[in-house]
Amino acid sequence: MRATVWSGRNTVQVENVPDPTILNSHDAIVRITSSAICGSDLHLYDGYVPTMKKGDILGHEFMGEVVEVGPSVSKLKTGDRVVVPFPIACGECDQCRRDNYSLCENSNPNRYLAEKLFGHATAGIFGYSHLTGGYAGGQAEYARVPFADVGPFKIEEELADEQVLFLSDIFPTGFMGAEYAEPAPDKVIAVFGAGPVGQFAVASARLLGAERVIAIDPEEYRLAMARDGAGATETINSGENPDVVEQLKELTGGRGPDAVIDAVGLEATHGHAAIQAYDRAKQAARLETDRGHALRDAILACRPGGIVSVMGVYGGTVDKFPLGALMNKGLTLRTGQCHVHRYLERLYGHIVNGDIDPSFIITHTLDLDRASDGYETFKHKQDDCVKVVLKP
Amino acid sequence: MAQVKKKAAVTVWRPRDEVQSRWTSYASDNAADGTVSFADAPGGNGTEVYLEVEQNSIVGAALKTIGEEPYQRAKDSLHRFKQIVETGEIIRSEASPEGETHKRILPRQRPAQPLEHAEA
Repeated sequence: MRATVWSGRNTVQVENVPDPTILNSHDAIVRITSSAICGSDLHLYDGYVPTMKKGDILGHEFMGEVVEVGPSVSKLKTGDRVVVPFPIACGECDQCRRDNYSLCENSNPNRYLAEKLFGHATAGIFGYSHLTGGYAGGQAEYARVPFADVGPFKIEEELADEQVLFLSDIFPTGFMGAEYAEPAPDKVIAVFGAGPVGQFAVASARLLGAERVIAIDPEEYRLAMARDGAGATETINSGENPDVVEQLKELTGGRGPDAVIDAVGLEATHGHAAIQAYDRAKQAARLETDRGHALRDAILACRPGGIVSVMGVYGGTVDKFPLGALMNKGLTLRTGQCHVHRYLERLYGHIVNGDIDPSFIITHTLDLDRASDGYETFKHKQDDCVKVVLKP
Repeated sequence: MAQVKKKAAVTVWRPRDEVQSRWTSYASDNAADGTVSFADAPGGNGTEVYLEVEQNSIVGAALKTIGEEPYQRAKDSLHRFKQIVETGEIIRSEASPEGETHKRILPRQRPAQPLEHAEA
């Protein structure tokens, strides 16, 4: 089969690789009909995530048709149409039973690698380095899906792939970020980052009852999508004016937003050239691994007593983390890789009811063979790119 | 040369009598060197399993670099046992097709792509 493989920093190639086979009795094989490039794939592409090997198949946002099931699979059959959550979860450990699916205790066979970095292993993830298990990803024609009775979500309504594909990751991720922010009609929510997760964080905050949601991004076309597609009530262009903290105070009577959502993660850009240069230099010297501009601004901007909800992906360490601000302002920090399985039924219901059509974020659809172009377009925000879908 | 004792630990979310019974049959089929002990996890709905090993500190440090330190093997044994009890089998990935083992140090990992049929 053809698959997008990591070939080194800033290089992906579509190559012929073996077709997947059943390795565990709870596996299923899915013929992929749609797949997407995630913002966190760019961290792999840009070389910020350790433990990648050439030949690793990328991709953790995918869906398709079940074509084979292992002997212990009982809830799926061939022909079922499914969306596959990006965390691999056994459903039986203590974390899974608490609905903390991205913390599954059993699904990462490379536990010791993750323990070195994080102290503990967390769930395996499709196509996301050997730290998360070294599972083949879904930017491919087929994928092997472990614990097939636990993860894959059946799509039984007549909905296009584009309407449900993002249940795999970014819609639940944005939703969890918004849920953690505890939106309410009397609360102002600020979302840092108007990429795909930020768009869904804005939309989800509105679904959850927020009446004011401010989106922040340096790209005007993304802010326009946040207003017109996701429902942001106000926007801040941090590229035109990088003093986001002051602008947010201005918009909130001097209070600051009651909750802030970081939908940016470790490759943040900052409008102040000096701050951007500082973090890039420290990364180059390996003195820090992550750029924390967005998170710093979010913490400084948040109203005292408020909530900082972090859905942007971070992998290592940041410099100049405003721990003093976090502590003295009595902020609550809530974060984590999304527990996708927890939200699927509820968010699917929103889609079926017509409350949201997630396909609004798609700007580019490419054949799988053009995955390399897709990564470059997405990385450099060319052609007003927000989200790239790949079709095998 | 110093002999040191190290204790690996895992929590299996099953009652203690079940875990102890399953360990007996697991240990007889798998190399699980060390002294095992059990304790109730807080809340009473899980079992802590400990496997204590003794190793030479210098030899152990050398073996650690290739994933063969007795303590590492003890951890592997416990986590594989946990997977078998909780999920029924040892989870395999394309990079680590034999499942969890320290011996698959990063340079020995397969690329994360499907195995050839003969390898599976």
